[in-house]
Amino acid sequence: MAFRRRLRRLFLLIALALSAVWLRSLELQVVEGAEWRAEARKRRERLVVTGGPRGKIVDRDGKVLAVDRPMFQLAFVGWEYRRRGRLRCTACGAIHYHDVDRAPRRPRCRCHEESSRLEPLALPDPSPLEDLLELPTGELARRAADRLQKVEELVGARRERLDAEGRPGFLAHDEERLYRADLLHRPYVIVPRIPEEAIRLLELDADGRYRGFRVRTVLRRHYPEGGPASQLLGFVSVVRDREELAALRRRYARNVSLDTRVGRAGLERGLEDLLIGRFGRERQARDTDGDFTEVVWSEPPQSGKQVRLALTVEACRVAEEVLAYRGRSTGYFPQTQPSGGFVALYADTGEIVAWGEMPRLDVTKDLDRIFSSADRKARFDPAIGEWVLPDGVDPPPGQTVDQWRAWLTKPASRTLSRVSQIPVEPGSTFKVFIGMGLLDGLRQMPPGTSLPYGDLFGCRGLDGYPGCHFHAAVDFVGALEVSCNRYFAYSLRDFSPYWKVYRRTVPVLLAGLGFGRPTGVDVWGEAPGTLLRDYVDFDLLDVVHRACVAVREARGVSAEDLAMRTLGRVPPRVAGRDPRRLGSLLEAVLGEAVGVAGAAGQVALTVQPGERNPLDPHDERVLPIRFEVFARPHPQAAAPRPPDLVKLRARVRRLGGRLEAEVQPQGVVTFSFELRYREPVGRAPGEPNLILPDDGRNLGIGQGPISATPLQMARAVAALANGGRLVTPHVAISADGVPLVKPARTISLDPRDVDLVRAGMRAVVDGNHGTAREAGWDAVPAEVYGKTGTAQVGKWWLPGERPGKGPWHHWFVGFGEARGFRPLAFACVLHARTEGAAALTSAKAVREFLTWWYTAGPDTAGRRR
Amino acid sequence: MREMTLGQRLKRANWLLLGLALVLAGLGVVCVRVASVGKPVDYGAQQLRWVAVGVAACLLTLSVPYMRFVRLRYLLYAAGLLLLAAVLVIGVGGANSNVQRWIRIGGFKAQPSEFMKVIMVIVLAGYIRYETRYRRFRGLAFPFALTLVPVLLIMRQPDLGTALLLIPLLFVLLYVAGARPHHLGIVALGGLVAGLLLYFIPGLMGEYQKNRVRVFLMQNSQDTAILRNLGHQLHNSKTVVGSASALGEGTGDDAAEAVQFLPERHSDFIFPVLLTVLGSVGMTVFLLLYLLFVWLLLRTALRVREPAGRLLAVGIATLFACQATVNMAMTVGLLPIVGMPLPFLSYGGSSLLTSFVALGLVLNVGADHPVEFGRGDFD
Repeated sequence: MAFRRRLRRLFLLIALALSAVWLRSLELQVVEGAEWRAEARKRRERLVVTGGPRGKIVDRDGKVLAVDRPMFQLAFVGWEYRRRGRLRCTACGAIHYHDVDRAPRRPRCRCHEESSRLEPLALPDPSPLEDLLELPTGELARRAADRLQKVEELVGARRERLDAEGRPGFLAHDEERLYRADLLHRPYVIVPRIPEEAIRLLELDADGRYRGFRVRTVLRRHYPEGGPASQLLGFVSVVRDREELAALRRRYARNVSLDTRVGRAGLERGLEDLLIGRFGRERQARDTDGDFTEVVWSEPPQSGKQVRLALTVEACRVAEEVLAYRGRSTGYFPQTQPSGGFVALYADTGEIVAWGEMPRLDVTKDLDRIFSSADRKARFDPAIGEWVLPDGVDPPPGQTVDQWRAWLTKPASRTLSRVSQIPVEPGSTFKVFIGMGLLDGLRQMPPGTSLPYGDLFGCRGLDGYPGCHFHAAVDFVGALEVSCNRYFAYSLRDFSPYWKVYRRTVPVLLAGLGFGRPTGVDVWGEAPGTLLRDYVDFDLLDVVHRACVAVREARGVSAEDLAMRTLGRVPPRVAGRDPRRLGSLLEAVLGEAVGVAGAAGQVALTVQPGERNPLDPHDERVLPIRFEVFARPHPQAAAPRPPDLVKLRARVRRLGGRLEAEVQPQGVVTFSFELRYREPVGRAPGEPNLILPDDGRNLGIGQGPISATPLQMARAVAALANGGRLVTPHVAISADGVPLVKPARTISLDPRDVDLVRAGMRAVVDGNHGTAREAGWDAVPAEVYGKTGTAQVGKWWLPGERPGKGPWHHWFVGFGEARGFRPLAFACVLHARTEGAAALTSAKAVREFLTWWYTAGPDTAGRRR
Repeated sequence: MREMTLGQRLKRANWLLLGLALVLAGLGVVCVRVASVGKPVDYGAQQLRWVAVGVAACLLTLSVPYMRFVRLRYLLYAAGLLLLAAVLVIGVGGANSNVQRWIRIGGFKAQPSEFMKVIMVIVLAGYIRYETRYRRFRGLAFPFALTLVPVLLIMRQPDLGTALLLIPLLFVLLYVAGARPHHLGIVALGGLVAGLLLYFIPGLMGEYQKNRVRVFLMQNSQDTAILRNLGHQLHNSKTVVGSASALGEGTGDDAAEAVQFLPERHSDFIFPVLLTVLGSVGMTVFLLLYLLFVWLLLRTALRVREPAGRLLAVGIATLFACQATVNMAMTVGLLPIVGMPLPFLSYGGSSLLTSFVALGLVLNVGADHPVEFGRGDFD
């Protein structure tokens, strides 16, 4: 009985164990069923995502500027090539697949016809295709074999990695098998472009002759007009890496994959929200062979929106032609490539109607370089502010790494727009706005105060000072007409009470006109330009003190320690009783400190030589040497630590006492120049926005610590043309027919000041001594208001050149008004090698464009009829 | 006493038991055929051939009185050990793994550990049949030693599942033969401690074996690294089990598609395939059939009076029950994954042949009633 009892217990135990299995199975099916069914569906089906084409870009006349076009490639699918044999049913013609290594699984066709017989189809023989592709016989087979070998190499490498990880054999085998299958299923492009005849041949391949070779269709961005300004349109390329993919997916509702082409520059990027296509999705299920052949559900891809621009191709071509003609014909460019930009916009709305660039990006040749694998693998290194290539990646053919970097990021790059991405000193064109600031400041002074120099200002008695145009005494309008440097420069350097007022009102007005920040144009990558809104004046001691603090914080040593280290490098001309000690101290605080602090983006420092009052020869006072420190946060710099003011002051007194006693003012200036003090500080060499902060009064003539793009200039003059509305420049005016409205805001401009400035700008073109008079405006049937300007740039524009020898910027900005036409604001800049005929060349270029605009431009269409 | 002829044996054999086994094997052929869709070899056809060979082997076993096997137990034991040792020297691995479990004989690969399971049943049954020392604590040493030698050899292959299967077999045979439960309990406790030491002392257990335990313990983790790598077998198996319908997909393309992503689906993971084919209703019937099969095996033990025959029937019932339970339990996440086939269903010549031979032994026991000269019936 005991045996029976034990057996009963044993059986009960077994029954319990099997019951547990049964209950667990039911739990998986009933309680967790939905989850596992979803998981199973995921395993048996796959979602194939097809990218939607990008939207078209058309000009105002409907001319297509950018469009997606299909391109056909020959892809190799190893899975089909390797193992898929084909059988055709003689009754119904259905094709059945089987593994070539074993007998077919299904002996009969599903049609079950009496006459049904499965006959094997031909083995691959792609020679006709090779003939069409002009490949040698056997070339496709060779490439296919190469690919298969590569797959095996990759699988082998994976296997080695798994073995190294100690992965168990059966798991490693599974992973290896899946990896191989994945590689073999993935279409691999072996001929990048194939003709239509080849496509037809592949489509008509009913007998499996080209088994394993497929047509792969990819979309390529096509620019039929090659522009207009290619920098304006920009370009597209595929998503670079997974990090970028993740960011883009968050923004574009997952309509991005690693194959998606996204805008990289210009409008293509600026209008990405509108242009990006919507993915099509197709859910496919596996057949019994494990291949995804059945479509369960599909949603077709959708194209991005069609964007219409305000400009016309013709206007842009005219703009580029006048730039090219004036750039080359004037002989400015004996050694360098001509360059420049032109932009014209409706002053009332900000719609950009013409955009010209020189040099122009060649979309057929240049973009191939940008699309290179080097570009896709490049990473921007914020530490050095440049693009770098990872090890083992070569730059595009024919370029060194430095050339390639320059191509992408340097000011000379063709990819950068000279209209919106390269801000330069506006030169005398800035006198228009400086003048507005002067007039604005006048109202803040006591009643009865007149313009800075009374009714008339003459330069005759000031010979010997640079920048004199040798003209008669001028009033405000006349100063604009003849572009008197001293009138505006000394206004900001005057000894009278005006000075302190102007130093506040002018930057405020400039900021109000939008300088120093992007205009908001829909073209991506706009440069903000430079406007020193928050600059602070310190006296020499302050500068020295702050520099010492900066050095100590940056280096962890005291200024005195730093000075001791530089004892051996002091020029003997430094005034003072102990040149070695003073020199080292100065070098420490001026050279090292400013270098450190400037590179960290904390300050830009400029030296103002001591000078006498140029207007009063009897005034014996000498202005002290001024070191101006401009607070300028740099985007790549860490936030500066606020200084401890109490300690600061204590150090100022201590250091200041020694310096005042031992250093003569002129010695400091001389020595500061010896320290190459005129060089830009605070920015890495080669960056497009070059500033020479060596002279505060340069601000009065649009040089030094100020820079602007032609787009910013055109927008600012548009505000003068429309009576004080600051418009947002924009190129796109509608998307799929829906208007795109850009905001505009009103700024506070006194109409009387505007009238006075307009009079000055009109006199520039029309006055007897107008600097642009010689451009010849008779052919332009409109009233043109303008201002010329020439600005010098630093030596880093061209490596190895001395300051002042680089190409200068020749400007002409203004607006035109004519009955029946909308007011047109424009800005033109030519980068010339030497001063030559100065900005008159730009004025001529503008004159030629305006002549066309008012006689044959798009707004004249009705009139011509 | 004159021995029974083959005809008499066939006449007295439990045909229901053989019929049930054939039903299970038939189900196996169907499932293996479904599972082999998309594989380079049609395992279903091969399995059918092995069923035929297995039935022949079963009848052959039936024709020989089982006591002859019992008498030759130590010879069989030695031959089994020799084969296991030979595996370590000249053995070959499977196509997909780096283990060493098979011996190539002509065009076939034989798995000696499968045969060793039946041999161990015969050896232990014979030992317990003629001994009573196992009722004392010290007396347990010899049967344990007999078992541990092949266990260690099989673990060297490595084949942890088969090796550990011999332990419950020993415990059950000793238990039904009347060994003291508390003695067995102490040994079991010791075994448990030894198992823990095996796991925690570095170098004693393979990393992949530890990983299986880890995966089992972390099977509900949402960590995709675990799901996709170490735990993908269990995850895929649970996916198939959990997504099976009530009435099943049948044997058509749908079933084949549903199990496409399941690894080793024709052998160790045949149970999820069966669930897909038969559905949960069919699975319930299958489990009841299996339980009936085991009950019939145990009933054979109850019906005979000869102790060795009893033990043979119990041992073989235990083998089938343990293998089936462990195999099915691992596919649903109740036990860690081990390489163990589901008797009569999983693809594998050695497994199927062993199962039918074992069944033949039980049929033999049921058909034969030798004169009992020794002990009673463990009561």
